[in-house]
Amino acid sequence: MRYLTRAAMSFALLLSASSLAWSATSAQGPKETGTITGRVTVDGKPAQGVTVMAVPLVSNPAGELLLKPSASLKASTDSEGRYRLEGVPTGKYSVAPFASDVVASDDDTAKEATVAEGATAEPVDFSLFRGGVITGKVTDSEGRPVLAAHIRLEVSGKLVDSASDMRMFFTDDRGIYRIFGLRPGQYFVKAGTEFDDHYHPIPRRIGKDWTYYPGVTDGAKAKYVKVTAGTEATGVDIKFGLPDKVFTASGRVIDAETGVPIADAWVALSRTGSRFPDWHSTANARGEFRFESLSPGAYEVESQSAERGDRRFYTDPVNFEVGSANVDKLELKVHPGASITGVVVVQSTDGAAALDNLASFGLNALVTDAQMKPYSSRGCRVAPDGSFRLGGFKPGKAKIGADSEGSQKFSFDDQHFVILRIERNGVEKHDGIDIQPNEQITGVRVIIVRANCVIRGHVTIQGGPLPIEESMRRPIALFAVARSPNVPGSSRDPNCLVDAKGDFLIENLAPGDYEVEVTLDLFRPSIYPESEYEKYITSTKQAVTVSSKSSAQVALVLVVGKPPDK
Amino acid sequence: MRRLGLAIIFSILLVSATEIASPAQSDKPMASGLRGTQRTPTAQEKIVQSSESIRGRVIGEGGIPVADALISAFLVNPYVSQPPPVRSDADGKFELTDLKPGTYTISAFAEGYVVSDSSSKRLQTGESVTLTLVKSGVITGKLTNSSGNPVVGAIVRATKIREADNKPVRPHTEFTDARFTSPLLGPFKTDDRGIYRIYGLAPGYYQVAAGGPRGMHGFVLPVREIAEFGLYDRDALTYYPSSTLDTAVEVTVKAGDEVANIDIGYRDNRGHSISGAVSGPIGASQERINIVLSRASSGVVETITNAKEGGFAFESIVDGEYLVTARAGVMFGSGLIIGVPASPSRRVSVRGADVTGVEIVLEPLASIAGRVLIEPISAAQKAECKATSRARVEEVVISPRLENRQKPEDQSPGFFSEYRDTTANDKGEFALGLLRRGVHRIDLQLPAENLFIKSITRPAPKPDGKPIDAARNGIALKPGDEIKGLIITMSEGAGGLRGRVVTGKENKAPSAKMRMHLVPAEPEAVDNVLRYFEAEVAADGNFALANIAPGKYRLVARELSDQELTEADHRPLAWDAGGRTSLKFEGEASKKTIELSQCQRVTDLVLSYTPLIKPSKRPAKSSD
Repeated sequence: MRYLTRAAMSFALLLSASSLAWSATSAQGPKETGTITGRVTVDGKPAQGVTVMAVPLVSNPAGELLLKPSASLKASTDSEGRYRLEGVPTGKYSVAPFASDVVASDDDTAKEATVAEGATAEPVDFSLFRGGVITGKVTDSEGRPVLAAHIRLEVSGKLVDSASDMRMFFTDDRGIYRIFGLRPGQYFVKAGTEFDDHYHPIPRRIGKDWTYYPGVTDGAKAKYVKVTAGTEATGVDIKFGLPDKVFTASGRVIDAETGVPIADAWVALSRTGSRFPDWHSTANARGEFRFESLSPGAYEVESQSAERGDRRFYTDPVNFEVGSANVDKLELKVHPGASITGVVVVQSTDGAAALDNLASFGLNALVTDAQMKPYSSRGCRVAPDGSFRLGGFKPGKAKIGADSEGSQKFSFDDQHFVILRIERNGVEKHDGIDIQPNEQITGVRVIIVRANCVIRGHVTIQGGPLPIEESMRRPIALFAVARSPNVPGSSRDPNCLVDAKGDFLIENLAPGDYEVEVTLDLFRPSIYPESEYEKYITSTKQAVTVSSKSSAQVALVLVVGKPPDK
Repeated sequence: MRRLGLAIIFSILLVSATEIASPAQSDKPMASGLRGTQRTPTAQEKIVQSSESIRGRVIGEGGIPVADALISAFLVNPYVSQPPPVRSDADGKFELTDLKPGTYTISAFAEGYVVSDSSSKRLQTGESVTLTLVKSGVITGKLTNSSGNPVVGAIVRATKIREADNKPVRPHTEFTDARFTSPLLGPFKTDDRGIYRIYGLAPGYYQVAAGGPRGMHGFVLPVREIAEFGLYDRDALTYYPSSTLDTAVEVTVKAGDEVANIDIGYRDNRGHSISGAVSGPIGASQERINIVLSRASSGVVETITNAKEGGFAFESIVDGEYLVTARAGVMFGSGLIIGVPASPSRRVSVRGADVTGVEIVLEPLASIAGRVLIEPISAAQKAECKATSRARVEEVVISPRLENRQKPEDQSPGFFSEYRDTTANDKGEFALGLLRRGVHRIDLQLPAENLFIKSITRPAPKPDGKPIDAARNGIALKPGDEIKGLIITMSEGAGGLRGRVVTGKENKAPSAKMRMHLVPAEPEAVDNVLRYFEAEVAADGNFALANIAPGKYRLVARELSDQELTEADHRPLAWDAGGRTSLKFEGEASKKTIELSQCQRVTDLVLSYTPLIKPSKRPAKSSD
């Protein structure tokens, strides 16, 4: 699951970056052509049949250099190792040889070439050497092959990057792996399997910790495998140890005051320190719950959705250790907690009729403790008359939103609404509603407004081209974001991608005041390490007021400074 | 963030088996989503104190037990995995306990086996089930270029084009085949020797192809792979043995087989592009639009792309006949995101040149809402019947079924109809969403043998008019339609009929594949589709019909036509007036009738059948 999420996020970034790049290349290129030639050697000898690709480097109006993969050209080397790309439109190119089983002499294989009309560019030569191969079989303690075991290689204390070919780093249905194109060196090889997760392609009862060749979990006892250029290290077999012992944890969900069992509560179990629950179970009619196949370690169990009738409860988390025995008689005590009742109202801005069906909305309150750690999130449906009841809260600060992630937007039927403000007894509660233990809060008004305003804008880039996102070889993506003044920004603020021409359109905004700026980091905080770019790329901000009658226009400047020396 | 994130996960999940969003979301209430199909459990449901179980067994070929299979139970409505999955023991046995009473889809998966029709069944709590697993197969071979050198690092894919029973590919196999081509593992690729090995394949007929744009492989690749311009990205696919799509040679995979030496000569040729514009409204809850290219002949999904700025383009497509359809990403239940066809399909023919200007017009999806009623029978009628347990209205599974699914246009792109099935709440209210334009029928899976369907009606167009019979001609949906007030009336007192079809003097089972039909004998019932019943006759001649409305019937045993033998989806004859007329004639000719009274179960009917003398003139086989 971890992997999937990360892949999803990376792809999100990529998509945004790529739409920038692709649209930037729509302009027609020049008709004049030239030639690119060169020679490829492998281990000093001419290499036949190596594909060489030239990918145009084009610049967009903002002045950045981009790759244009869709216009790539390729040729194969002959018996002399020579290649020749003819009819190449004039311009700059990135040229690179492609042969997955060979390794370039230095880290950056691609070279730049400039093609002038009717001319042949300077020869672009490449000297490569043949990589090595490590292959072997992964088996369990009984000698059976392990399918889709993950293989990792460590050389000089670094992990070999497996992103370019994931499949190569997994065993096949016979337990066999084969990793090629390796630089010479001393490799430590380890294998592991994902811990039980039934969404994984291979659901496993228990995962296997990393086990080094030939079959040790202690890295200090691992044997290295020597790889030399163009050779194959075979029989690098890894045998997993005895299966781990697993245990059961069970208990009951009961009413804290009466001791009566609570049926049907969702019970969430997580490893201590894990941000999200790792397992879920539903208590049965007697309030009993049970988790199987737990490996030794520290756990936390709690229920956030116990309910009986329309009453909602919370439980205090229970911490326990799984050592060398099953854990039973866990007791999750249920408290009725605090509740919030109120009404959702549509504020009419332009005389438009009020919403006739509020019941399409779900409301959610996320309650945070004094340390701002979220610990309770409860949702409800809004009744057709706009009334709602949220319950089962611990004391803390409740932020009301459209969903459990605190979104302030509602949409259905192509209509968009945002929460304008939340009032308690007529007083605006911007930071959330304080909840005392077991307090039954009434008279909360959630005022929503139709969000049909737009902000159009243009970004001018000054000071130099945008940096290229190295892993993507494309310029970093820009987002225009409209933030409410005097409120800390978040990734949920209304935003859109800036296109290659520097234009943008932010839609579905509520009428009001905004501060518009360009940002690079909408996704970054949780996925990627701190970005370097923010240190030298800054955007101007522009205050703007929008209404449903007119769209606002903004003009921003993005200043690209000098990158700090590495 | 939220919108984009969803969209991305959707792209990943299009064909991936790991079809679940972050587990952290699973216990959270749904945000905005589908109106109608989602449902907050009522208070009454939550305080149901009883809990039930489903027992079962997982077996492989020859009935051998499969140990350690993972068994999951999905409640039909809301479509969520209720209890945590369990494992089968050494005898293949399992028990899912503490289930809320209801209808579940139970499915088993074990390493070395595939998802198939027999690995998943739908049943009610309290019942038991045997799930049969089919072993997976392997295709392996070597990819070389024209000079005989290995082609390294090229993606090789196996696309199932027909099921093992020669029928068109069933949509669920998109799941099966994706299990080992998930984003986690990456695509199958050739190694440094040019060797590839594709495992985890369900039995069936495949085409194997190498190279081609990465998007061709239907899943999202690790970020660097997409970002780097790939070596084979501008090539069209080369099909085994060294062919274009038209001349590709099929590879047959049998359960548990390894098919070796499927060597491919790489052609290194460029294909053509298909591009066009996307217009039209995006309906509520259709989070993102993808454009799907599928084969016109079979509906098999070829590749998927994103619609960008109102346009789309598929690159490097080999010559052939295709369909282009928009598919909308939709959120389900606790975070499942799937693709739903969201436009009519356009037929595109690629013949040696790029195709431009393909216009895709999006259509919002439609919905049907209504109520299910169970009419009790009178005390006098009840006296005729033996005591039967009373069925609950919440246990009826309601499924929308698009007519004319025989056409590939209507099948593509693969879609899991199961997600659209629903059950009613305790008041009998239900809602079916995500429906394409076209005529839909309502399929019902009844929870008890003593129930039959009496009527399916829509409200009268005028206040004093008669309700419209929605069973006779189905429900014609236009894009974005929201049909309300559909009333499905069931009644207790259904009959049942089991028997055998025999032929010849020795009373043998007929050699031809047959269907058994019940045709209402009362003249006033001739156009009542709900009075027609049909069932396949098994190889041993046995047939079983249940949930039959009491009344007088003519019995008709029919041999299946060639078309019926290969169709993916059987369309009951009684759906058309012509079919009803021909059944009526056949029934009158057969002179065999039966009268079923309230709750009557006939279990030993023997129907002797005289095989048709087939006309000697065979129809000329059409060339397509």
